[in-house]
Amino acid sequence: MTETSTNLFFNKEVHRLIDHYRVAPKVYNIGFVENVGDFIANVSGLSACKYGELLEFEDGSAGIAMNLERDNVGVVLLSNSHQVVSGSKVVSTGQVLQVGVGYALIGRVVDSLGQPLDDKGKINYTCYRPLEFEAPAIIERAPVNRPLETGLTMVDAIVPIGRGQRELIIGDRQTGKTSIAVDTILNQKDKDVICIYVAIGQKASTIAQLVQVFEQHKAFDYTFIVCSTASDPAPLQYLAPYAATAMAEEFMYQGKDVLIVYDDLSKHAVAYREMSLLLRRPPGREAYPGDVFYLHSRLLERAAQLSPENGGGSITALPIVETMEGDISAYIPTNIISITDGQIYFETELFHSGIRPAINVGLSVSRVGGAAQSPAMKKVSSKLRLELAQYRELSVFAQFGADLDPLTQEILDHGAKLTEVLKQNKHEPLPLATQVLMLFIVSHKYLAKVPLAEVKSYLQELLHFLEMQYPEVIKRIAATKQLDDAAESMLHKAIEEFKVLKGF
Amino acid sequence: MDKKLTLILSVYDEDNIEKIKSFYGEAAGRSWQIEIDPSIIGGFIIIDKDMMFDYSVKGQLEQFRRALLQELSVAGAKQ
Repeated sequence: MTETSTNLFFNKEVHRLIDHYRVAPKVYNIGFVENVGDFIANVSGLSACKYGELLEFEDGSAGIAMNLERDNVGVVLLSNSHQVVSGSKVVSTGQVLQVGVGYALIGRVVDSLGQPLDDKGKINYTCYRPLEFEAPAIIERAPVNRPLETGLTMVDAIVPIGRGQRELIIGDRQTGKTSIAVDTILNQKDKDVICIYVAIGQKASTIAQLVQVFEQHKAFDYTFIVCSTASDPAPLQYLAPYAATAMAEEFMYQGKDVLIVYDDLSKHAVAYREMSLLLRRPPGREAYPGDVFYLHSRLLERAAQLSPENGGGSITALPIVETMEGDISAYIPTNIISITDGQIYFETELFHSGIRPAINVGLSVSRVGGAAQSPAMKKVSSKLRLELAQYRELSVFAQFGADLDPLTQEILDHGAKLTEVLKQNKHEPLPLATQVLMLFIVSHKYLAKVPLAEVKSYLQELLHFLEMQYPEVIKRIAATKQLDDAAESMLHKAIEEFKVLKGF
Repeated sequence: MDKKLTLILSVYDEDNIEKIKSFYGEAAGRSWQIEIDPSIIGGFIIIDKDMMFDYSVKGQLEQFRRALLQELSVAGAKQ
């Protein structure tokens, strides 16, 4: 569109609006700021104000009514306006806070109010949605039965995630929680899943690194970031996940699949605690307000798999929670564990011993994902959890240096190799067929004679051999997501062939 | 109860003030505070406790500006 035609278009639009505009006086409910500080204003008046209503200050800045008391209203400010002072006029708008939604967001980095933070220019929104929205009712939902492949063998095999599921990622700091979420996003390339990464209370430099990773892997073709950094005021950090969910809902109600990562909800709870204490709400356990459970339950309930009659879209939520010293029984972790459909627990000891992803299989669970697991993966991973649990238990005793019987030795050897196979590098998600092949090889004890140090390289060679010599098996698994008898016998034959070539 | 009513006008005009006072039915027995604010351009504003009745030109232009911006941003994005 040329500049002249753009001007003509806007001129026409302006004339059309003037012709149809009806001037009418307006009645406002108003109040006056009594005191203001730390992004919280106490406002007198506003007797008709509603909870969550968007309020406008006379300098044009906005706030949200969060506390409704007999004589005043506690307002959370959405910007750091120095012009909001004692005596400033406040007008109620009769509206709730809305955020721009739609495809214009894809590839962008935006703040909690949908304003761009990148250098890609203004975002032209065609549609807006309220930040707070009712979660889909039971009748509108369908069971979770379609897999959301993360590309991480350990997750896809042991704690599978289904589309529409809420799976908590929990663990101490620096244990690989964000990496697993980022890898899951990277693995959604060409899978028709829109991904949203919500950064809450993180360093701006961390976000910049993440942007780089997404750019390198071309993930911005289907991803956008909603960001509220540690330097942002608590109200904006509080709003970020709700805004991102509103953006996700727009796609879900259009029948699309969305993956949303909340990184992390412990910082979100801290931001809400700060806000609540400033609003003089009574503190409860760990000084969190009484409604901190509702804070997260109303957010995560919005993740759903909609029924086909409602478009069949889904929001899969991966909330992240940081624990202190591995304490998963703290207030916020237990709250979110009880809200979600399972958790992936990361352990510092495993991380430092080189097992990455450092997932504790014993404490990790997926309550609904099993139904969504592909048949091929189900077939090769059914015994995995038990084998790993046996290995972990026996390896504790083996540390005492006691003589071990051959069966125990075999379990230990198999467990060590299984652990080695499940190790995976950062930002290298694997396709389903490769994961199935790897688990097929290890579960049929084809690595029994391979020294532990050579397991990875042996497996790589074997996978390369299968790709080169038997590509049809891989294609078949990828296409059908099944591992039928014919494919199995072909795999046995191929592996035996490779063993002869290799010598063991 | 705050019995005071505030009337904001762009210019002082005794006739208009009387007309507005009689027009506003809830004014019986209550005192008026008259304020002059040229920035409202024309018309008047009545503030009754925490309700503001905006009959000003400035308020109506502001309403129109908002409607215009919203319509144009949506129309522009669709374009």
